[in-house]
Amino acid sequence: MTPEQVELVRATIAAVGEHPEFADRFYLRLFEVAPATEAMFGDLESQRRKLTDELVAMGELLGDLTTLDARAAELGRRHRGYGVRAGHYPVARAVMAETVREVLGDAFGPEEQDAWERATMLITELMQSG
Amino acid sequence: MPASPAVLTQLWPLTGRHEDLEAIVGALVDGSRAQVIVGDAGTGKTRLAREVLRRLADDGVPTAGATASESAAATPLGALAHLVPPGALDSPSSVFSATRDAIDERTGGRPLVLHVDDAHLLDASSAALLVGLAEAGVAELVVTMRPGHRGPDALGALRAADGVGTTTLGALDAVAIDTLLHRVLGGPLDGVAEAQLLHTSGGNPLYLRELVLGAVQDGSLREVDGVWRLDGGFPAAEALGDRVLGRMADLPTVEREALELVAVAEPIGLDLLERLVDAAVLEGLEQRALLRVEASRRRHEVRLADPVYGEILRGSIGRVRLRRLSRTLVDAVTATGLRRADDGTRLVRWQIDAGIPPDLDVVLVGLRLARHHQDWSTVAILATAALGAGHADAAAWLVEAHVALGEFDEGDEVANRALAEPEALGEEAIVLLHRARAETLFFSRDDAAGAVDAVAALLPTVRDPLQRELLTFSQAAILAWSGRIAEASELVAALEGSERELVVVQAAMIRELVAAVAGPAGVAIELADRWFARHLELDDLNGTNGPGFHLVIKAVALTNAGRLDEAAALAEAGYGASVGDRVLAGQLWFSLELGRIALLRGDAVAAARWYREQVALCRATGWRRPITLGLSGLAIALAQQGDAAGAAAAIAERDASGYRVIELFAIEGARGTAWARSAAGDPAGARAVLAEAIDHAEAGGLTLMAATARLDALRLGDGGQAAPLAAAAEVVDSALISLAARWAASPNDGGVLDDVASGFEALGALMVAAEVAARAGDAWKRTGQPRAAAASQRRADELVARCRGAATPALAVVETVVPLTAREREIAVLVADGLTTKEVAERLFLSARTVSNHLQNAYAKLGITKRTELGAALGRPTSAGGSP
Repeated sequence: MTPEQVELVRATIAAVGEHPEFADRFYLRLFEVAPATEAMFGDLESQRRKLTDELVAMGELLGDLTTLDARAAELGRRHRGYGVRAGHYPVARAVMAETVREVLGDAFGPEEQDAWERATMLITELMQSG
Repeated sequence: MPASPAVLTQLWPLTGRHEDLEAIVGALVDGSRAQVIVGDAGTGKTRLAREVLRRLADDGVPTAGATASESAAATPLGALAHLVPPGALDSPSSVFSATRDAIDERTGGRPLVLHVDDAHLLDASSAALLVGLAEAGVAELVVTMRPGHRGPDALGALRAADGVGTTTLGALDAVAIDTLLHRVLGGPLDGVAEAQLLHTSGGNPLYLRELVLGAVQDGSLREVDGVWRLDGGFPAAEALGDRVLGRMADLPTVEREALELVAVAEPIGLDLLERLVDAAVLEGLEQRALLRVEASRRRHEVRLADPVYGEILRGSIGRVRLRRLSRTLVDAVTATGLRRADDGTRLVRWQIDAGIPPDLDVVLVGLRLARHHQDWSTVAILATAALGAGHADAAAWLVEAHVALGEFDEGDEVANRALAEPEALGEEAIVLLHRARAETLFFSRDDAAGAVDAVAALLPTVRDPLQRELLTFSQAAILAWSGRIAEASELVAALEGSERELVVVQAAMIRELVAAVAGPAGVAIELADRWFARHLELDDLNGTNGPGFHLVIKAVALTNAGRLDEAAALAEAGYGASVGDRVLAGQLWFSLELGRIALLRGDAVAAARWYREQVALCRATGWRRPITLGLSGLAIALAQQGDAAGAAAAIAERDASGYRVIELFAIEGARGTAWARSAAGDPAGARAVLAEAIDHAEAGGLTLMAATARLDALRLGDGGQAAPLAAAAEVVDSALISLAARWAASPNDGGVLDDVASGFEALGALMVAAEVAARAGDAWKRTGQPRAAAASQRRADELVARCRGAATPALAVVETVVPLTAREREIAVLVADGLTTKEVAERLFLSARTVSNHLQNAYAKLGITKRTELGAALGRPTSAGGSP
């Protein structure tokens, strides 16, 4: 990623933070596309909070790979514990990008989307490498 | 060298392959026998396989690795030497059981997950052992190989087996490359650098790694204020090999030479390497990510950082340099003494490359294995080495390998030198040399009598009963090939009582061969099945014809029996196996048989392709005499496509080759000549050629082959086949011949012919089926049954449509049934509509005589005699009584 892309991702995360309905919509859409994941995330209330918190934290860490790696690896281990498989990651990435576009509209243009895809790929690869 | 992040020079993280990783690990945990990872150089096959093993090892699964390479393949089991217990090599059949037991002991009976890198380069012995271990559940394989490489046959069979998965790796996409770069560089990269890296690497992870390491090392890629930036640009895209060599070219000589040593010797023990190369140099190479050191069970082993490096480096080392490097390795090993059992095999390889006489005992063990697996190029290398080490008998194995590889002249040269000093040779070697000479004389020099003499003259001087029997076998084989099957059978009868299974199995081959060409076909098929299985059970196949030859014979018998689908499946598998194992003779015979099968199936285009391949193989090798069979087949295939000139050219080339058609298959030669003549418009000449060859074949007892030619005679319009085909059908046990006999017996009975056409169609003999259906139509017409005639003609049309490129004389009937000329059709339609000849003449401004002529032609083509039949024959509604 370029430094500019890192900034775009951070700005997108901040903008998403203005939309409290984001997490709900993300999970709703995810369970629709991949019904098996619904059973994996038991307490949806805490998951919703976790999702937003993680996004903000990961965005901040994009410039610090060592810390990002450690955090993503830990998150990945938790996900493995839920029963998440490698095949779920690309689905979740796509659903997340769609949800972001849904809540942000035109503010999520092609450049933002490209940066977003790179960031989520990096994070999910780190999650699976731990 | 500027400082670079440590992660750069370590193993790069696996990126974008987690779904594949999970699927492969999951399959192996569930007991899959093998998982194959296919991808081009640098796509990360090895990286993925290693990650699979790491995951499994973390869960306590026993794992091991092996790497095949061109250099390891030159010694049998070269790639697997570390898995085979010492002492197991004494007999080929004990290799498997001893290795299995050793692995079981090491793993406590759990399957060992074994990673085999570059499996397409495995030697035949290693591949057979690996597949055996996988099939026995002793090992689960993780196999990496290049696309488009077949590899040894055993591997191909494994890949087709149940429970074996294949994962294909392609290039990484832009997003995955971005992630990979971010992870190895540890931070953001500026846009220009990223775009260049992506573009130049083409998404190939190894190429990307080479680009990044090169740029970091020469300082053009640097971290400035937390962002990686590129000064200048990258060189234009070049081949991966050039890129790798380019990075190595800048190394000081001593470092470059250290890399070359590892390339020649990998994996090489660290202790041995340290005797040859300063430790500081090795550290530097490790830091530059060119070498990696792995802890194996008992010691540290050094390899190049990527298998591709080894391939590229070995390809760049000239013979002289290889000789010097090998000598360095030999000296070092000799000074320290062998450390492990498998060092012996590797030492021999280095000794051979260094031009130093190798350890004879080790070479002889390798020779035995390579001969057992019919791995002839390896036999040639090892036999040359053994000869160089003073083992005179090795000349015989070298000649045997030359003959199998079609290098008859080279074989002759070695044989002449060896036989000039017969007192230096053991009896076994002398016998083998004479047997090889007989094959050379027959297949390369067209001298059947000389071949028989070569073995017969030696026989009285041979004392050892086994050697006498093997010599007799060769004599019987040459007699059989020469079409003298009665004499061959007499010799075989004596051999069948032998106490030695080796001899009995060989004798059975001739028995099968005779049954396949004389009949009954079922007997040949049954014998081939039985003896193929027995042959495979032999402890040691040395000195025998390959077991695959039973399958060649079975394919011939299945074709002659009309069991075309089975024949095709077997011949295709056999052809594939022969290509994979580089068994030239198998390739030659199976491609011939595939041509014959394609012809019968009505695919003359495919037949021509198979025959052309066989002809090309014969031209490229010393196997010259079988070219007569390939050219004969090619002539048939071209003639059946209506290419008279092509067919004639093939026959002319055959007749100018200086070789006669191999007598046992002389019928095939006559069929070629006959079809070429028929295509050239000389059906009488064609029938005469066939008749003469049939007489000759029957006089020699080749009843089944002769009967197949009678089918051709029938197709070419020879009416005198009823009695002989009926007689043959009684004894040859062939559905094909039985149908031909029914056709010959009732050539004018539409009902029988329809039935026979269905029979041929059921066998898959589509072209013959079409011809018979066309004749059925003809017969129906002549007996005044236009409706049945039309139905048969339609069948014929449909069948022809399923044949590729068919244009045989019998099919000419089909062509002329309906297709009238435009004028004939015009007139016929008017007459069918009720006009008189005079009316038609007036309407079309023609003379009544011309109209009448056209009409007669139309009647003849439609097979009718009366005006009232015209409507039905043209497929028009009948106009009873004419129109107003």
